[in-house]
Amino acid sequence: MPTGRLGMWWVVASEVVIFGGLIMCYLIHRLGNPAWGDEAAFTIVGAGALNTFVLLTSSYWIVRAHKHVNNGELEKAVRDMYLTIACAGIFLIVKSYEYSTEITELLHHHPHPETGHVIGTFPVFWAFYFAATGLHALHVIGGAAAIYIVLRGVKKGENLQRVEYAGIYWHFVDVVWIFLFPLFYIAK
Amino acid sequence: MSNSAQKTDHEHSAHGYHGFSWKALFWPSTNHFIIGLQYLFTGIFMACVGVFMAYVFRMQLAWPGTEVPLFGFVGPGDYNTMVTIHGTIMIFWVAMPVLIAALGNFLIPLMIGADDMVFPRLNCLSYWVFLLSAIILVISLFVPGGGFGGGWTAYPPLSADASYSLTKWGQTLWVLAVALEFVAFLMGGINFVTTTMNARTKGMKMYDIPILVWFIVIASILFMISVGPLIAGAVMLLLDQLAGTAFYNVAQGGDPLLWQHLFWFFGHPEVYVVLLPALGVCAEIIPVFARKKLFAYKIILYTAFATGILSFVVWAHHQFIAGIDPRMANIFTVTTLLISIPITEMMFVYIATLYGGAIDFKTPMLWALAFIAEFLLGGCTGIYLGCTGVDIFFHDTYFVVAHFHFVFVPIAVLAVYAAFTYWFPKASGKMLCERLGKIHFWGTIIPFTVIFLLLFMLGMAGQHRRIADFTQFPELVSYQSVRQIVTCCLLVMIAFQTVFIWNVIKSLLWGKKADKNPWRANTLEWVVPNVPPHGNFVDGYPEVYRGPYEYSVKGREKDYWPQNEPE
Amino acid sequence: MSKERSSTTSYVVFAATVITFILFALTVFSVVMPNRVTWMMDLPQASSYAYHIDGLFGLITYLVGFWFILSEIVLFYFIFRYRRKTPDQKAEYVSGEEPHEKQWISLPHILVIVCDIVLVVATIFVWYKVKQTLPPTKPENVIKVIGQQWAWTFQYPGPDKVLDTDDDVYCVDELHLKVDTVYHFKLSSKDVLHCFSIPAFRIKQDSVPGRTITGWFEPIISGEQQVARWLDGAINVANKQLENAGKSKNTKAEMTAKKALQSAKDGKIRKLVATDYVRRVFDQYDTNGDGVLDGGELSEMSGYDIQCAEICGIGHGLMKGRLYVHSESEYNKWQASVTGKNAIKVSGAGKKEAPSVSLSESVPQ
Repeated sequence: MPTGRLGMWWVVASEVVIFGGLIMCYLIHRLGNPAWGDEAAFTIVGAGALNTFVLLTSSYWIVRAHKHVNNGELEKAVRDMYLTIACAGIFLIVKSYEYSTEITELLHHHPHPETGHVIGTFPVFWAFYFAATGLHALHVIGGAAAIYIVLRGVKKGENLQRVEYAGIYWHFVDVVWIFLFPLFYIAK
Repeated sequence: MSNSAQKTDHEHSAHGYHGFSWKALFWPSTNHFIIGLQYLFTGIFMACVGVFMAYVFRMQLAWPGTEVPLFGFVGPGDYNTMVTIHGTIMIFWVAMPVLIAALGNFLIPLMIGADDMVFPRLNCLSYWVFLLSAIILVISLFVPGGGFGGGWTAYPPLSADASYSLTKWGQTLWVLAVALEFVAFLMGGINFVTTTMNARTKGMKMYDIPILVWFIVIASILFMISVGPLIAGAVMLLLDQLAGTAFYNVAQGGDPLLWQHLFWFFGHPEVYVVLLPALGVCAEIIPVFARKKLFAYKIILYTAFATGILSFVVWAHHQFIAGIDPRMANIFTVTTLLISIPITEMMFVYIATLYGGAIDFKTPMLWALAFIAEFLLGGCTGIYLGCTGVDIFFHDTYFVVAHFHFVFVPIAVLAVYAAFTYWFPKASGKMLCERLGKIHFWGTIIPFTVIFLLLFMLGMAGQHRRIADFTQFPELVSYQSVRQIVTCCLLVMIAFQTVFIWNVIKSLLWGKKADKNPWRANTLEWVVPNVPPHGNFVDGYPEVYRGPYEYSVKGREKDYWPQNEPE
Repeated sequence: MSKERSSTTSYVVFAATVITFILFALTVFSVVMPNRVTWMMDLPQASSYAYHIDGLFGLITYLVGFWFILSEIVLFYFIFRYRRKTPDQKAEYVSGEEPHEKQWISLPHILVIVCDIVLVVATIFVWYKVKQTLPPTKPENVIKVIGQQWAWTFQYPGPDKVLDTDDDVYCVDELHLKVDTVYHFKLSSKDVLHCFSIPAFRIKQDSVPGRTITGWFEPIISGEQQVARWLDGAINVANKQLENAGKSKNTKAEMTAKKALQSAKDGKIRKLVATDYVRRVFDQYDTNGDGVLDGGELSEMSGYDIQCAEICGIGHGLMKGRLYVHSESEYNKWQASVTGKNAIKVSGAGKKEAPSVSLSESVPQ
């Protein structure tokens, strides 16, 4: 296997165990704490769904970029990579909106509309939510930055193989979100 | 006998190629040799810090409440910090950098016939992140509140809540330092694995790779898989410390045991992460000095894989009485006893390699043989702790301390000295003095064995861990003289390390110039000139024709057969 | 040819049977039967399961010790036998890949596995007994053990024999028990992890905040029995010294021995006639420094340590408790001395503490 690809798979493998560990912890805790359903009431499913669509689209663009590179169409590849980054930007904007509303809710300690239960200072569901999605968001930023750096090289016609590697990393970021979305938004 | 020609020899090697120079050690470098040395020297410095801490807390234990020379009075918080940071440093900033990063960086490219690692800039970055982690850890000792004192295991709620631990900044910096160290080794691991997979020289097949290289690769993989959940756990601990989350806080729905599981899921494979390179060092040294082929290369490899895989299912033997479901303990006692089997097999294989040999007791061989003799005891005493019934009594006693020192000191000290004395000629171009080496050897081994045999005894008397003054416990008062003997032995052991330091300085300055292959070994690192130049194989890449352990082959005149010699 | 093979097989079967029998006998002898050999230095086997744990330790020592000593002997033998005597000494070439070479590893390997199986069975037996059973007992023998930074609180049911009522007795760092009685302890923590550890009983259990963990023990040696044993020992030594003094016609020695003998009969031990353990710890317990261990000092000596065995902050080394096991009559005397009009009122006594999360039970099945 080419060295760069092997290296990238190593990075992905180590990230899988990190996120995997976090997700396993969340799962085990969630199963033992049905009360968290209350706490999770105000995640914004619509925003999560939109972000899922945005990320999947961004993955599509990076795949196309790789195809263009293989065909020698460097300008189209660069354009597609810019689109990937743009999608990442949209993802982050939606995420910021979500975070600001959710944090405001938490700070106001609103009682649950039906049960009237007021959640404590920093409910563990939300701790996991911010830890997992926050870590993921950091990886989105890092991945977008990496794609930008690769893009600069592609413009000059250098290091074209890195488009594939950046793609692998980006797919990984996408896959993590595919796990986070159902866990934190749907099956809460 | 200062010989100016010999002195400039060393400077000569700095001219002409920018391989080695003392100055180069202080700047970012992408050269694997320099990076290896940078890791080595940082590891040595941290080892001195760790040993100093051991000195301080052992002095306190032997003469409680008295002023320790070079430190002062040891308060209860100081004691806990000394013990915690000693453990943390020795595992993360001594054993790992020296055994994996220093040896791996120095030897992997040489042993597989490559000119450097495949990601030199990433390699460089990994060292500087590592150095940063070391600096952060040292700083954590001097912040308000003092260094973290919750044990290297850092169990919450103590480690998550400064109102319990009283070390608000110390504990956060501790977690940060450890997390950064993990990142550094994840980066380093990429290099070890990909270089070995992809950069081997022509003719080197899988089973021609020296065991040390294999073992560092396996160790890197083990590390990478096991560290993930702990990084997640460390992020959660940081959030608990700083952001008021309650991952580990029972009052708000968290669980302290979660940390324990995450920690030990990493912690147990981690001991094999450091054990494997040490075993690899012995696998390189024993055949050379016994002039015998390594017994059953394939069995060694398979037992290493088996151990690695099994190491992921034994972790809760550290938590038998921690409040886990007692039924779960039965499962883990079975897996723990199972894992002793491949390691036993490996020990048998090393001993079998000696059969029919012609053993030459040079210093590296002494260290490698001592590793086997001492590690056998360490491993056997692990069985006691792996049996749930006996662990009820021995958990958190000095029996545990003695057990893990009997495995860790062979790993982090004996194997390191073995490697250092063995590859010193290649790295420096000089030979170490054999006589000083042997004095240092005996002066280290004997006190070490006495110290920890006595600590087994204290553990059996019920002496528990992380206590600053045992004269407070009526059942333990009468053993105070034993504690004092232990401390005196430690002082002797520390004193003998000066022999080693003197040996190194003396040899670097006035030592005999070394041949390219003074031990008449087969592996490829002995092909390059001493003090490897930039690019290593300046006379062309070698081609490999056989495995690395063809010693005393029948019908051949020479009793060794280098891998790159065609016939 | 087949006759040869069948005789080899029968030898193997015979050897296997003998080895199995030896291992089985060893296990039963060490772990199951009362075996008062203790390896644990001066610690008495003061609880009903202590000898099982010590016995398991013994079994492991025999089995693992065998392999350890064998391996070291082989290692050092090879080191000696195959040392290089002449500079050009030739070594053998053994790849280790041939079956007849591999069997030197595989055979011991299989035997080690057999030993491991024996150990697994033995340890599951001991663990089950201590951690997975809960022998029944009366409600008056249930004690709450509460760890906190940095003390142990023991909550007894008191005269009404019910826990969590107003007459509960609270002791800090001091535990009093009745001999030959099964006790259940309900262990919890107020803040961080602690570990309730009594070396003489061989019991240890971490205390986790927010949880109540149940365990048990049964003390089998009372303080009075220990003191009686030491006094008997002192009397024997005194008698022997008297005899020797008489034989050697040493009147001074005779006088001292007589005095020591009389003291021992009166319940005091002089250093001269102290037996091994007593002599080792004599100065430690002779608090008034008069060279004689009197009743009070002996009774203090007959207590056991309670430790905290999980690092819990800077006061971890201060969490020392002391445990006293009494005969029934002595225990009743003690209980009377701390209840009723002798009691010091503790505010909020008997009321369940107000933790911020409900305690959950974690009882061994």
